[in-house]
Amino acid sequence: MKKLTLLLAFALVLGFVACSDDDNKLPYIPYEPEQPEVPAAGEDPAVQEGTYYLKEVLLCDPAHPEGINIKDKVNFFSSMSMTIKQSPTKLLVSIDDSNSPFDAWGVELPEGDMECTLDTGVVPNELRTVDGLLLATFESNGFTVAFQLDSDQLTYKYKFQ
Amino acid sequence: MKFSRLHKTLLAVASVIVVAFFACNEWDYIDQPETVYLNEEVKIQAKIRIEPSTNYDSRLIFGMYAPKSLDLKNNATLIFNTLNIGEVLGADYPQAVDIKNEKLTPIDMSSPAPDAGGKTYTEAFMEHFGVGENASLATPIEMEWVAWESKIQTYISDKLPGDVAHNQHFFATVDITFNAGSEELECYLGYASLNAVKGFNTSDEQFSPQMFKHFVVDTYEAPALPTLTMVQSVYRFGDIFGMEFSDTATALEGESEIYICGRATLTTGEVIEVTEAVETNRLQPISRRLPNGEYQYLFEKYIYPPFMFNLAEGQKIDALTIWFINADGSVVVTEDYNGVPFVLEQTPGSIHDVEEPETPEEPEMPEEPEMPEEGGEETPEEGTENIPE
Repeated sequence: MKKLTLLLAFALVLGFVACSDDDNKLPYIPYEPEQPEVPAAGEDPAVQEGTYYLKEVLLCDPAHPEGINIKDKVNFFSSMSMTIKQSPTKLLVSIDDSNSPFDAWGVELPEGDMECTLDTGVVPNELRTVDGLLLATFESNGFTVAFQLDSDQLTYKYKFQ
Repeated sequence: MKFSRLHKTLLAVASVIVVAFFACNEWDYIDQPETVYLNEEVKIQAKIRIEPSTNYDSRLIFGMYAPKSLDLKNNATLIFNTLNIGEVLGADYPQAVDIKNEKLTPIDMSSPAPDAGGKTYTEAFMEHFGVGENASLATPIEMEWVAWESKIQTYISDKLPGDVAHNQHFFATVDITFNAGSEELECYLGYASLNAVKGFNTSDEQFSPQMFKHFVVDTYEAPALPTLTMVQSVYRFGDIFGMEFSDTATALEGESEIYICGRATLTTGEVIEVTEAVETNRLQPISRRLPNGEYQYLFEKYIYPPFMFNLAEGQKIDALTIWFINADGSVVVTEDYNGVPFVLEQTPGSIHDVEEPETPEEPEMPEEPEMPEEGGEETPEEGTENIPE
């Protein structure tokens, strides 16, 4: 009986010593509720960006209504591209046609982003600037920009994919 | 018993109807070119209307009567397709699935033909389909019947199943490809199609009617190429447009590099010339395959004149003349081989044309009442009377 009392006493002392070690204390972490990320001024959350490159330039005339691809037959279409940045709140489009000697849209497009809307209520869908300028139509295989330069019987089509 | 004219007519009509009624393999069409050129790849499509069977036991035999020199047995490819068996036979025939692109197998023409009384294929084809209009040719050539068969079983027959409406056909096509060969010839190609099970059994009349089509293999003479051909038949000087240049019979024939030069007269009267052999003005060599398999070699160039002449905004070209030079400019071609200079002419109809607004018609002025001459007496108009005051 004495032995058992001694053993219990020893165990209590050992347990006390172990618990009193400061290093084994868990640190105190105060609770802070998560704050939703607030984008910096001028920044849009969750922007998805995609670049469409000029795949074809079709020249359609009465004898070739489906068009002849002239993209590589002249030397000023090689670097054209269309970049689209989409967020839940904005659709921004920038078009690089810096090497083109003419304005396919009839006006000189601004460098950088243009705020746009995609009208899905029409077929094909129309990509327009907020000022109403038709930039392109959207079909399953990409964006098409149809325009004329001089003859009313010739039509050109940029195909961005 | 004498037949009246009416009886004869009725008998003729009835026999035509009977033949049409019993023939199960009918030609829908045979799309065959009448004239081809030496060594040209000949493509023919035969479309057949076939009455279906309820027995899944038959195959197609397809025959052609053709010049021996073409050796169609070894040189032709025949592809067999059925188009709507399942649709015609319906759900009760689960095996009624269309055959897709089956390559037909040549038949040994000296082997016995099915249900032909011991005759070989050659003999049976000759007996039933004959030689057609080839017999009437002034210089007949050696011809032969060649036949192919399908190996996939299907429902080709004249038996009309009870649940399939009479005269309801399914369609099949046979696409034939062969080389026209190196000899000029004229003949009538013959076509035949029949059921491999019923074969040449005359009582069932299961084979197609006679069909022979005129066929000529001729020498191709390439048309002389004009020196300059515009790719677009319509264009204006503010457009991008293309041209093809043939150096044949010109001073530039044989040059590896050819450049376009030009003189643009602006609407202001100013003249701008481009005369340098620079990379942006270099023509691209192109080739075009002719029907006889040979190639035509020429050069191509697309230009955007405002870019070529480095025009400022607002400047417009009124007249444009071009010419061609070699790399060092020592050889110049300014006109075609008929001596006509390369003066480009733009077609009317520009998107920049301003429609003249319609001039409004001058408003009609109300007629002034005629004043009676002084001292004169007013004559009342007819039908009017002076109303007394």
